[in-house]
Amino acid sequence: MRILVAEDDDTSRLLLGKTLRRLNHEVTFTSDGAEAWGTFRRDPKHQLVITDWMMPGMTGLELCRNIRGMRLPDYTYVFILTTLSGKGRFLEGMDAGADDYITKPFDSDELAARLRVAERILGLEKRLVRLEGLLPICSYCKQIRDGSDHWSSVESYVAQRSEASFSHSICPSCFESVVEPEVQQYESVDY
Amino acid sequence: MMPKEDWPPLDRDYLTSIAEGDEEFIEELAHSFLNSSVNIMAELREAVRVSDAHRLRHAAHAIKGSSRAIGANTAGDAFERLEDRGRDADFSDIDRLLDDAEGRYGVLVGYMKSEWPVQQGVS
Repeated sequence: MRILVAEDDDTSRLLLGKTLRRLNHEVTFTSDGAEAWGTFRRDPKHQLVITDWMMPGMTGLELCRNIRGMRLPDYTYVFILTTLSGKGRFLEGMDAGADDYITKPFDSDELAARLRVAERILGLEKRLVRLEGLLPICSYCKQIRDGSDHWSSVESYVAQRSEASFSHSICPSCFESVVEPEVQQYESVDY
Repeated sequence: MMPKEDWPPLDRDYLTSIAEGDEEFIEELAHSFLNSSVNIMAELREAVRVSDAHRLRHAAHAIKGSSRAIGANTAGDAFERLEDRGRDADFSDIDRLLDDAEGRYGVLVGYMKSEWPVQQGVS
């Protein structure tokens, strides 16, 4: 993942770097909240932000709120990594829009596990965005084109990509405009 | 005099574990702490001298984090007591708390310098 780190403590930055590099993440380090915010605004493609809470200039919570305020099309997962502990702090962090909260000193195995969860959630979010996105649909036959240029019916398109299955029925408007005239037509035919 | 249970002033097992046994990295961490903590301690002393609660809280918070990051938990606890005073803007008995933190920091620095000597020419 592309990770942006906001941490004003040199020693904690070194430790984080060691863990994140071992896990093969691409990391950009910044030494306070304001620098992190500037870096993120210039390059909002970071998938995950790990931020300390108390930093000079801009706190981790402000950074988190600013990121959420950008309303980016791709979701950014935010970790707060801090020595501040307790339920009140945790809730305050989550209310600011953070996705996870880790207290320092961190355990590198626990951080790795939480990063795997973040990766999983970001993957699911991407799939969801794909499903919610605009679908190219034929104006006449209503078939849908998928990513490999293959056209398929709405039913098979949805069935392949979700747990949904279809039970076929007729809506009142189609009954009135299509079925009834057809029935009347058949009835009027003199056999 | 530091209580016997507070020696060594940092948790070597923890340090080895977070550094994944990499002795060179432990040395890098130690030097990083020794370098960066000097300025924070100066800021901490100044904050106490001028009774600036905001600066006290931030400086104490910063060095508490650095200390705990390397497993220096008793020093970290002493800095946390100062951080709490900064948060509450309570300067009563502050000199005693600062002396305690300074003492623990001094022992920690002495220990680290003997374990991981800073070479001449390296800041």
